[in-house]
Amino acid sequence: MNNINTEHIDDDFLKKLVGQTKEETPSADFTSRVMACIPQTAATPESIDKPMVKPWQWLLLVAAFAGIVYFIYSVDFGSFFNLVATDSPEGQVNYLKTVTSAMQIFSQAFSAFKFTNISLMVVISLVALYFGDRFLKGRATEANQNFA
Amino acid sequence: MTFREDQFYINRILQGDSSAYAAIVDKHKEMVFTIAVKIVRNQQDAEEVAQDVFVKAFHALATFKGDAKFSTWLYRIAYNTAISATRRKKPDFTVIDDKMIDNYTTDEVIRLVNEQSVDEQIDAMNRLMDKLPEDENLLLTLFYKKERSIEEISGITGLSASNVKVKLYRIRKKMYLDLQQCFQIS
Repeated sequence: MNNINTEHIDDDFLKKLVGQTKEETPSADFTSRVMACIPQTAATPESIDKPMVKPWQWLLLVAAFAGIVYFIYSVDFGSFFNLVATDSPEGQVNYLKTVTSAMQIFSQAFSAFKFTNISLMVVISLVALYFGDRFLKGRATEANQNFA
Repeated sequence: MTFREDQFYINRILQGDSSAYAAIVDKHKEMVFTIAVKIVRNQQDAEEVAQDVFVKAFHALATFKGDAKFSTWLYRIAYNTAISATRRKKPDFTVIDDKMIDNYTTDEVIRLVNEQSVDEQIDAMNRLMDKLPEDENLLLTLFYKKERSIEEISGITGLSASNVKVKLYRIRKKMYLDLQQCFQIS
């Protein structure tokens, strides 16, 4: 396309004459008036199509839901409520027993999960990476805004 | 003011930094405004059209695939928006009588024009270009003033490259005839 022959229309004299004619320029505040019509934050072209819940948030929600279901099915709530409902003169002792047994029930429910040193390191690393990523993204956005 | 490549700003906008669009507007506003004013023939209306063009382009930015140059894509939007603003179909080009306009030599016209002062030349060209149909005025401006290539003009107007060339050839002839008549009569 670049080697289109323009021999019959190339004309330096006409180019000079047309080049001398008035320049068409918009008003001085044109850019600011356009930018006033541009959504500055939420409605960027990308965010219009962005899902409200990100995939990793869905995973977190599913994991939390599964955890709650597992907890409900694995705990013996009957003995727990019987203990609370007992009406005895040693009420304060019963209260302590209730708290202790609640903690025991909770720990029993998740006793199947063994956290080794390695898995703990992995979890801590993932959390650190997540917050590190957020921090760097924040810095990058700030730098771009300063540049603009 | 120096600008980076359009794609740099486009990437930033698509990443959510809409303030980068100001650079795109600054870089292309004169050309978009020129296209608009040549078609709608009124400064105030042209400003509104140009503003509309940039807002439309922003919202359509995610659909820009990079097959063509961004500037060509943007100017095409400007051309179509300006045409729509005039609320009529794309105009047909004026049929020029080739016999009539061959009745001069280019050198004679150049000599005649050069005898005039620069101010008179500018004044005459402004008047003659304003008399041209919108599309002819735009083609003349894009090719001879803005020095855009045939393929880019083709991309902006939707005309084929050969059609652009034929039209420019006729417009050029017409301009010489008008210049001749203008200065001979005056």
